[in-house]
Amino acid sequence: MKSSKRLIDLKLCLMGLPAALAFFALYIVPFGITGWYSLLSNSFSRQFVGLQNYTRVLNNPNFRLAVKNTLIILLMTVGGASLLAGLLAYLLLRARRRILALSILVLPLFIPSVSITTLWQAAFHTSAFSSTGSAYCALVSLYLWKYSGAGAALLYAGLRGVERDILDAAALDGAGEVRTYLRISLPCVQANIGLMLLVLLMYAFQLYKESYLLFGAYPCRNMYMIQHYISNHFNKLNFQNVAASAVSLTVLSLLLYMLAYPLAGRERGRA
Amino acid sequence: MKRLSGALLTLLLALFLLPAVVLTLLSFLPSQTAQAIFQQEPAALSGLRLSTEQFVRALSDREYGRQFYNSAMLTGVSLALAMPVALGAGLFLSRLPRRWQRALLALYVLSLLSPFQIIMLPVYKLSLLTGLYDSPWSVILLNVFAPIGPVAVCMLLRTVDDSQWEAASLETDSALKILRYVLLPQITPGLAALGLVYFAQVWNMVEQPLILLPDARLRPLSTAFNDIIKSSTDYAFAGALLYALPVLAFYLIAAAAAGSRKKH
Repeated sequence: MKSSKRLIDLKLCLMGLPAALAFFALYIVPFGITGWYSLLSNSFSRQFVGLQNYTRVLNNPNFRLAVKNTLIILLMTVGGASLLAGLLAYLLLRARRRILALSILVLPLFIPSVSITTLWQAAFHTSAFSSTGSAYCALVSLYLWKYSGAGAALLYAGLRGVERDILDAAALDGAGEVRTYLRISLPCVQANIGLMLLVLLMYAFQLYKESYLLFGAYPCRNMYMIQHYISNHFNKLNFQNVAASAVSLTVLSLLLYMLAYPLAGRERGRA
Repeated sequence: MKRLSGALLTLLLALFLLPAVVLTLLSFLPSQTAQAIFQQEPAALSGLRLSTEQFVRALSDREYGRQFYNSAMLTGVSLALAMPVALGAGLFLSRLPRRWQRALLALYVLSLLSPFQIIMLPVYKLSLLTGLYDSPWSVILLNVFAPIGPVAVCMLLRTVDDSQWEAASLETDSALKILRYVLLPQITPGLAALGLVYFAQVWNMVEQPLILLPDARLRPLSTAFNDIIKSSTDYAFAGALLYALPVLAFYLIAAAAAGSRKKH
């Protein structure tokens, strides 16, 4: 019986091996190649220069501005969406038509960015010359509208499973609904909170798409993110800058994901 | 407290629906009226009348039609190829020993979480090397082998009880039969949801065509729309709404199907 199961497992593995190898060729190997390019002088001589490209990029005032802007935008978008998702999940728990409400909250995720940015462009008069205030309002409001519903859905999925006994015990002790939600329900779903933060961070790092549609390739000073720096240097064929800044972006994203990952790995119910 | 919660949720849901409703309404206004509303010209309100002028202009614009066709072609081909690839790679991941599975899943998830700019340069070089640069296949292949599918399928397959695998392996040693008669019936709803996510992802892509398709005539509408309406804003809102319809239709059908499955 064991050998038969192993044979089937082997056959299933072999069926999927080409697809897995293609994924490696298109996604994992490029990670390595990007890192390798970042250590070379240029594409022609391919001379190993160590961390010279990183020193140049990290000392570049435009790159530093891009890092600062990226962190500010991440904080505003992910922070705002997390709070809104928390509120929405709380309200969903008390709602009657939850399926309909969830469908409406998740709907913005499926509306193409190019469709909805047409409306945002008209409403906020966005362009490369937008003022800081209106640019932030446009980008952050778009992110909150598009992605906080997905965050609420992830959080709600966990909150549904919180044991009734715990909540009843809190009610008997005199805890109000809001206090029970903040002090008991949310700590029980830390894994879902961690997953929600990971997903919101992922969408925030992909915000370049919406920013490009709203403001173009060269947005106003406060909207200039690391992804703009990379794309613009790519268009100038400055590949060593592209590679070094891409690796820096990878490191930054990994550091931020590592902040959320411990929560996502928690067992259910462990406060 | 419950009434207040209900009222607040209704208000927030209305806010979530508002942009879609406003976009739809603006699509059914004459283009000058729609634009004038955002220029805050009160005179525009006196010219309010429903019209399909924007839709007629969008549908009769050849460039819009060509880019819409590009989107449909890229999405259709990507989806048709991505689903079997996701199934295959997901099977591969799910049948690996636990330690290997965790390590490989971590790599898949890492690439899922990373923005496209991180692999942009080597993907560009690879497309030049393989002669796929400025070909729709460069974008299609990138989406076909995207990490989201195998991760989702692996998670779905992990919900299938081990006892079912063992019982099936006693009956037959054909992997295809096990896949067809044991696994697929159980994960079909999840695969349908994955199909919807793939569709939305490819339909919505902007960065990959910008880098891999320098010829603007090959680009999908998601990338080209801004340039089209810069030259003419006659149908900006209707054009945007038409572009949202396919993925919205897919979403509503999937939501309705999920709802009826729950009732039964």
